[in-house]
Amino acid sequence: MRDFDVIVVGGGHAGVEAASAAARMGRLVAMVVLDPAAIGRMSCNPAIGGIAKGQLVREVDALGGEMALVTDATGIQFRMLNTSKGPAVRSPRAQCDRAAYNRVMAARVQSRPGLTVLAGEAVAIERAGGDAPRVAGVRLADGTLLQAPAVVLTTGTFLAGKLFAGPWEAPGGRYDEAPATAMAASLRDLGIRLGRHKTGTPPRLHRDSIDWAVCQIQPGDDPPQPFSFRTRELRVEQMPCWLTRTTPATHAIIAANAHRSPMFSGRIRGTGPRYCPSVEDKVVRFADQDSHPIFLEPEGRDAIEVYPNGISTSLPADVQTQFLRTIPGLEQAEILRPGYAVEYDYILTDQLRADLQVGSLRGLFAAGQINGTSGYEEAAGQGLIAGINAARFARGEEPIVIDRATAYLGVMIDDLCRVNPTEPYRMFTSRAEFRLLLRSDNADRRLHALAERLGLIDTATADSVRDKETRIHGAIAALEQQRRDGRTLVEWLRRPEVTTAELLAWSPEFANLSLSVSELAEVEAEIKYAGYVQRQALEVERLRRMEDKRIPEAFDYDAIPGLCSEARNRLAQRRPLTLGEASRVAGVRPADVQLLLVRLSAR
Amino acid sequence: MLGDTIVALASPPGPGARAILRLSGPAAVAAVAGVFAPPPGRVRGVVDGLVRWRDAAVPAFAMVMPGPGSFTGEDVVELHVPGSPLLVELLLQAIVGSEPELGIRRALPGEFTRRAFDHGRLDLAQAEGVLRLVHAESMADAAAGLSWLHGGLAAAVAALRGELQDALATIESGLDFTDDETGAVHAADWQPKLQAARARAAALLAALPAATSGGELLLAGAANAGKSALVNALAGRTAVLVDGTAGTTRDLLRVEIGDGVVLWDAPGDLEQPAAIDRVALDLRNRLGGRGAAALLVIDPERPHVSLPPLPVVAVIWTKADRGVPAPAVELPAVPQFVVSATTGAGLAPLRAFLRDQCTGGPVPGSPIRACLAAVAAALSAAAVRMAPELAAVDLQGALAALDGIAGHHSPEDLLDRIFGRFCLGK
Repeated sequence: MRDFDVIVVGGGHAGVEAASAAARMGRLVAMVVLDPAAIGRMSCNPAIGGIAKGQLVREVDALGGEMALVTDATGIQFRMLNTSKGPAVRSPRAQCDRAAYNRVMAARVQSRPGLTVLAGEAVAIERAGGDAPRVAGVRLADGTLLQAPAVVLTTGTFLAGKLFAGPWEAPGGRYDEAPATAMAASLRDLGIRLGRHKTGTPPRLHRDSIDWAVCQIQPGDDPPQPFSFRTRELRVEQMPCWLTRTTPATHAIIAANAHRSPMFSGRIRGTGPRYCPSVEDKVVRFADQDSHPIFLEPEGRDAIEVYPNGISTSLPADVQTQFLRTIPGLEQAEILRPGYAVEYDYILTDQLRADLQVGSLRGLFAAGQINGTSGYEEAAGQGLIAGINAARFARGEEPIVIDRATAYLGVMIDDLCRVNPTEPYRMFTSRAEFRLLLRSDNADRRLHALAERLGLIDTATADSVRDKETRIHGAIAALEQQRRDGRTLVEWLRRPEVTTAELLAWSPEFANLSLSVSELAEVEAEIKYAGYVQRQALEVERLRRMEDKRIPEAFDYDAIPGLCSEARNRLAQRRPLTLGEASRVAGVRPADVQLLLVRLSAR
Repeated sequence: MLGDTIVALASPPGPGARAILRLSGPAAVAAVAGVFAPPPGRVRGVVDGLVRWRDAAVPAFAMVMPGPGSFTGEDVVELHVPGSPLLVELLLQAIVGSEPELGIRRALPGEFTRRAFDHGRLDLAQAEGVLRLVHAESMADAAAGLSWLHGGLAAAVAALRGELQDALATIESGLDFTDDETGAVHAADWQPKLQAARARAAALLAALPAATSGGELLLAGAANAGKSALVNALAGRTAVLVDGTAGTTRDLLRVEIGDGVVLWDAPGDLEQPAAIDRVALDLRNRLGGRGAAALLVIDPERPHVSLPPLPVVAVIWTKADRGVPAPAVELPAVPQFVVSATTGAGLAPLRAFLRDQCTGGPVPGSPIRACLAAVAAALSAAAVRMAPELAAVDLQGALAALDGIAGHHSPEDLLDRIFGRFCLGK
């Protein structure tokens, strides 16, 4: 008895990717949301991408996801970051029109065949099965039971969410939106261990109350590069961002009032991110610095709100007003909505498997902030993988596992499975040991075959990736043939100071190939990194020997003599998908892995 | 297996003025009480008394060092007795055999130090210090070993790691954040840190003793495949007890067969292992990693193949004198030898192969030297990279190599190799 194949709880960045992917794979999908108008809402700053995050978005796009397409449709400024550095660390970033992004995404979800949006509060996960418990469905607040073999939880900051600003606190998942308290209790009842994280937002300012003349302008790229591999042409009139800075006077006010922040008074127990500290954190912890940058981001083409990125805070509203007065350009700034902090429950991630299933309950998947991460892009990436695997689970198909050498998606999920993050997890390029291979420009080349096999992209899209690959190989072959001062152009490009720009000027043949910006970046990366990529190939092979060794779902750990009892219990509980994953479960010793390897090889 | 109690001769073998039997584990004090009177208590100190030898009582004393303040972190007792090899062997048999429920067994090579490491009493650098001290042939060597034992090497490695992390963190801060956020990071910001780390790695490497030959080999294969007979034939003496009953070899035995070749004879895989055999096999699986590689020994009449926890460098078909042709089974792509321990057929080419394998083995000399050499090579490569993302790859390689020396994250096989080079009962 099933009403749906997959039920997705939540409609944020993780929820939309999960539901869309499962529907795209032909499953009957329900998305349960508190407010259908909030689907795809950006609760933090109105920007997508950034260093390492941009790579994630490109990977989501390569797997047929929504985020990059909607960004291209609603972006108001596009920049490629780190252009002065190597191709491996260049990342796209875009400012979006917040209202338009929300609207376009919600419309795409609502109109997707096979996907039904249901307004309501999911209050409990229903389970069935005794010794091998599995998901039976989702109970709504009005008592309705929706039955499905697979459920994806994407509750974001709503799970037992609580908002703080100065002395004020209230239950809530987002400004003016109710939390999901009953679901938190349901997860505890299922024996799922939860932790608590904290994040924050800055005050929103009125566009017309800012003195733009004293701020430094940050224009978009000319020409802008699209986010999605599927966007052929980006026609957009770009809007600039602006830069200002805090002053010693700002820091004096914040320091004098720091005790009024719930962060410091001890009322917030959750851990906040070190990489995205509140302004009171910056002032208290980095007392030696007398200024921090603030990026003034327009919230939309016609929006009156401006998002001052860099001063998220949970200080009382009057202190927020007071310290803004000391910042150049913001002396007269009008606060449309004060900043606040939010504290919420998340699933301790040592309970997750590489397919984003919660190991102890078959059919329950989780993605996004509920897995202790932060960021739209991290959420979207997990949502996509959880959606794919929930769809496959619903049909009894093998899960998909993406390894660390294939995509940032794999790095992120593997990191989460290894340890419980002590702060909200954010992607950095330095987390990826195979960073040179995982570039934003080659995400399509890395993932199109998988995407095509899963039915996430059509043949025409996959063909265009194969064409691109042919053009890149052709261009490299051509550069090997051409010489300048006795050296081939490939040899020239290997030199640190030479880029494809010089090659285009030197060689009309190369210029005549009319490669796109992203194809040129790929040619450069392939040639400059060739030696390293070859060396890393050995490590990749070593990794895959372990990661490609699948452990069947019904594997009987009791049948292996010699396995230590702690390892036996933990493995049976966690049900790792691969030998590599098993080797990283706490309490599993190398000798246990050897025993598993012998048994798996004997099959 | 931690949790059981081990015993071994801790003084040089052979006749001497004194012999020392060392026990470590929860039953150490109780086990000594079975052969020594008055029974010592679990109190740090020296107890004068007698050990029984046949009908005579021999003067002896017991030094009791309760855990966790002992060398291994467990209860340790040393029994000091007159240096008679016969007395020592009888005492060892009495201690191991008397009280089965105490679970006492003979220690494996390096096992005391291994336990000290497992209980956090030593780190890998200190363990290397023990090795260097014990094998010191000059005062300078001994002094260096002592200083390492007291954390000198670990401190130097920690400082080097700190410098590497510092340089890498500087590079990464420039890559993972925009220049607006962190300010531009130039090569001049991290190159000096890299140079300092290079100098320190070079200095450390120079302080390490020269490489010695290594690469000991584990004999793997089914029980009664003829491993022990092969060892005896190669050694030219009865080094190992051989019996037609499957599973005669229950201990790991280290046999030097000359020309720098060292073999570990290990229990074979049994079809229906008894409890004691399972313990022995578990030990082999965990500790067999002390060898650098394994030789797979197969009886062509019973071609049971199970792969050992080590890379297989050769396959040896035994019992060639019986004239059974090698059956078609799936094997690793390595050299194969057909030998007979009875007639000596095929032993000469095998000996030559083993000599090359052991003396030119994959892990020559000190594992720490190998780690530091990898660090130095990675740093030299990083120093000539202009592109920070490429220098970062080299630095990560250097840090990964250093991780082999650090206490907690060192790969198990490296540990096992280090501890396998200890002689019995230090």
